[in-house]
Amino acid sequence: MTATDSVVEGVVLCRVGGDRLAVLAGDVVGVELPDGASPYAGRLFERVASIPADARLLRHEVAGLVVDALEVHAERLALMRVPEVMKWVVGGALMGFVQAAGSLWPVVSLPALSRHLGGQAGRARA
Amino acid sequence: MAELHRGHLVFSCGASLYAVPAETAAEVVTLPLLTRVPGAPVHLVGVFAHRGEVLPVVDLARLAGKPLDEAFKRAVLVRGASGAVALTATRVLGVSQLEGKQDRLGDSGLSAHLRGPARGPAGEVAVIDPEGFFDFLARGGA
Repeated sequence: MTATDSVVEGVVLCRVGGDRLAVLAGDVVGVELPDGASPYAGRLFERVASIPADARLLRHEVAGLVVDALEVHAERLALMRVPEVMKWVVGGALMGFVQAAGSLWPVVSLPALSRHLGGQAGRARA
Repeated sequence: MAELHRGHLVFSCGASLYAVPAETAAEVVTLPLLTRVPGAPVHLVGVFAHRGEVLPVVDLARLAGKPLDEAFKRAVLVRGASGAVALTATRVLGVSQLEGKQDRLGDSGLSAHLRGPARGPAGEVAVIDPEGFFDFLARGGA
C-alpha cells in the first residue's frame, strides 16, 4: 500500500509557535508584513498569543495568512496522503504531508484555507 | 462486529478499558514526537509517519469528553477499510476473550460506536466497532 499520491516542487515551510505548516510556493504571490486584516495561522492551532512583531503575511491573490516565520524549500518532495478520517479538517484545505528539514509538515492549500477562514470569520460576524 | 469469544486487544485510556477485535489491531507502537495538524479537533492530537504512511493519533479520553490524559506514550494501531488510526493507550493489557453483551452503549457520540457491557480479565471493557468508529471520525467525531 502506498501512501504517497504525488510530488510537490517548492513549498514554503511556516512556523507558528511550536507548530508547523507548509503551503505550495506556487500559491504565494508575495510575502509582506501583516496587514492587520489577514488571519493569523495561530488560530488554527488554538494559540491565543499575539502575533510576533517579525511575523510575515503569505499573500494569496485575494487573501493571506500570517505566520511567525518561513523558509522556502525548493526540492521535490513526496506528498503523503491525508488519512481518510482527517479529510474534513480545515474545510478540506489539508492537501497532504511532506517530510522536510527532519520533520513532518502538514501541507495546506492557501486558497482553500483562506476561503475556509474567511467563511469562519463571516459566520462569526453574522 | 466480531464475536466476543474471538480475541480482542484490550487496552486502557485513562481510567477506561477499551477493546478492538484482534484482527483489526495491526500493532502497538511507541509514539514519536507528534505533528499537530492545523484546525484539528482536540481528540486528534497529532499525526506521525509510520512505514511511509501518515497516521492520525486519536485520544479516546478526549473524544469521550473525559479529563485529559497527557501520559500516553503508546498507541494501538487499528486498521479499517478506510485506513488506520492510532489510539492512545495508557496500558496495553494484551489479547483476551471477552464475555457479556454487545449492545450499543449509547445513541450518539463515541458511545454509539462502543459495544458492551463486556468483561475481560481486567474488568469491564467497552468494545470499539471499528468501521462505525472510522465513519464517526471521518464525520468530525461529533
